[in-house]
Amino acid sequence: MKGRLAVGVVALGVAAAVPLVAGQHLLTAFIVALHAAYMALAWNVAAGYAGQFSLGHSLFYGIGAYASTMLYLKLGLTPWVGMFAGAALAGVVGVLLALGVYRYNVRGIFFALVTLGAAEVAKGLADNWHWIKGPVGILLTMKAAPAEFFFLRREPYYYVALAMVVAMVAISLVLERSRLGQHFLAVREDEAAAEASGVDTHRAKTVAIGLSAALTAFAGSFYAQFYLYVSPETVLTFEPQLTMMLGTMVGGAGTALGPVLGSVLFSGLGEALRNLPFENTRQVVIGSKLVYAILLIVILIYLPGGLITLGRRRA
Amino acid sequence: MIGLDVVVQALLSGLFMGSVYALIAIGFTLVFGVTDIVNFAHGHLVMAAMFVTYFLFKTAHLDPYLSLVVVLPLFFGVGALLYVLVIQRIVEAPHSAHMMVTLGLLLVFENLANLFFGGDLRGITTKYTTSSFVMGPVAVPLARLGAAVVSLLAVAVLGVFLARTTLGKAIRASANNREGAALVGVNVPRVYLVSFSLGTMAAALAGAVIVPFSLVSPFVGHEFILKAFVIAVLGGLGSVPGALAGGLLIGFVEALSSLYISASLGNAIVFAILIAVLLYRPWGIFGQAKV
Repeated sequence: MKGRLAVGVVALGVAAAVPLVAGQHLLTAFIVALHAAYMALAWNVAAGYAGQFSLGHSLFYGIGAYASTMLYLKLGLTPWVGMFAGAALAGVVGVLLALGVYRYNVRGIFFALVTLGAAEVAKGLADNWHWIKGPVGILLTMKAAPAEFFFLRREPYYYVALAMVVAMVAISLVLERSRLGQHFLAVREDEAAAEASGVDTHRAKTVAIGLSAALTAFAGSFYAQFYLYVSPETVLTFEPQLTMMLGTMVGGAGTALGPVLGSVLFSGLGEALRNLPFENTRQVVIGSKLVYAILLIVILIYLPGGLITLGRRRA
Repeated sequence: MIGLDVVVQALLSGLFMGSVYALIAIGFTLVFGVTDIVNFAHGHLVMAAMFVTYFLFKTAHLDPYLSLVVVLPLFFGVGALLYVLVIQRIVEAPHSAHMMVTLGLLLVFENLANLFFGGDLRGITTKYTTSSFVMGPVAVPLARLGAAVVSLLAVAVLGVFLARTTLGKAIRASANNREGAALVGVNVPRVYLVSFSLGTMAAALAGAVIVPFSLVSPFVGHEFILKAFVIAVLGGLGSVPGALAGGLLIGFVEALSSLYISASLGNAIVFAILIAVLLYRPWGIFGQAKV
């Protein structure tokens, strides 16, 4: 335990020192990787720990992105606060969705399809909602306003993203050791058995979705502030969902560090390749995606627990 | 006010596209019904067949319908290869692994196509691409009619195959009860292989016949897999006749919603139907409750 804590402190120290040596391009790659790691961890709460394999988390990501952005543009509310409003809204939507879905006992593959459908419906509605500018999307202005979550340089974004990942890892570790987390695991392993031994499985699943949804929304707000652009095509498609799943499944679902490992490997290297001066950048980026897709398949076949189980086996 | 002839025209195009969707969905639902695998890459198999057909036309001037002679056996082989290399190894894994691995296959296909062919939309012009004949108040586009007729024929052939032949019966038996089928001597692993290959071939057939009037890019697969999901669920996952009815229904819904509401809301409406069906009748509109 002490050894692991020491490793954690060292890793954090190294991570904190990255901006001192990395240029703006490389720093962007790190930010993207950290952002992906955060998203993966947030999805992991529902999918990894509680076994609720949602394919509709882009909906919560989109709610976060749009909520903080609209509150800022219409009411002048700083996104630092707006992102919590977005999280609350996403949490409520998640709970309502879960209540509806579990009320009708939708499970497994059908649960995945319903949540996927919910995100698709949300995208269609957003495309036709004029107040949020439909498919055109909303552009935020680049400026230096730290109190409103706008920075001109990359470093502050990097530290925010890092803090989010650290907080999310901490939340995951606390969850693993909590009663709620035990209920999540019980539901994942055998719902009937959990129910029989007194776990309120409906409540556990609903809390898992709501919590995971709220946490995912923070990532959406971060996306809006970092890229300064929100549209249905960027935040409500399957793309964010895919990012969450790839990182989690490659690294190891249901663990606190697996999703970080998988995401850094997947997004970090991909983004670094995109930003490095290659002859054929496009081919390199597509080629790297191809390699990851093959990696994903191979890992799921031969190492279903993810890369994180490699270390565990040795220990 | 929208005139009646416009509505009839829309219904006609709904019928044509719906037939193609039905064929795609039947391939998807057959694979699920037998192997319990939700194949996210199914739509990308349609895309792959579209590219093969496109290049056969561009390089060898082979008509898309003639190219079926090449495309169908080729994709039966592709299906078999995918099954042996990948699917076979995860059949016993949980659903989440099925979904992730087939998503991985989707990404492999998409990025392979993107790497070699680029992301642009491509299309071909055959002699009949823009031809149509007038029948009463409506114009019947020849290429779409052909695609629908071939798709429905394929569905019929598949239906007869499943109902009448020994292999077809073995497939249905395995779908119903794997252990039972194995007990009476059905070679279940071979049935799985054949079912997956047949499903792949159905996707390829649909892809080939829509090439005369559709554009292809590495990303068109998403649209097809989403439709296949909805249709397969509407018809009851695993049900072939259900998928046929569901395909036609979605074709009509799509055509009418783009006429009356908005094309950009089309997918949202289709998915709202999916959610409603999954909540109230998870065994599908046309299926029967298995309780």
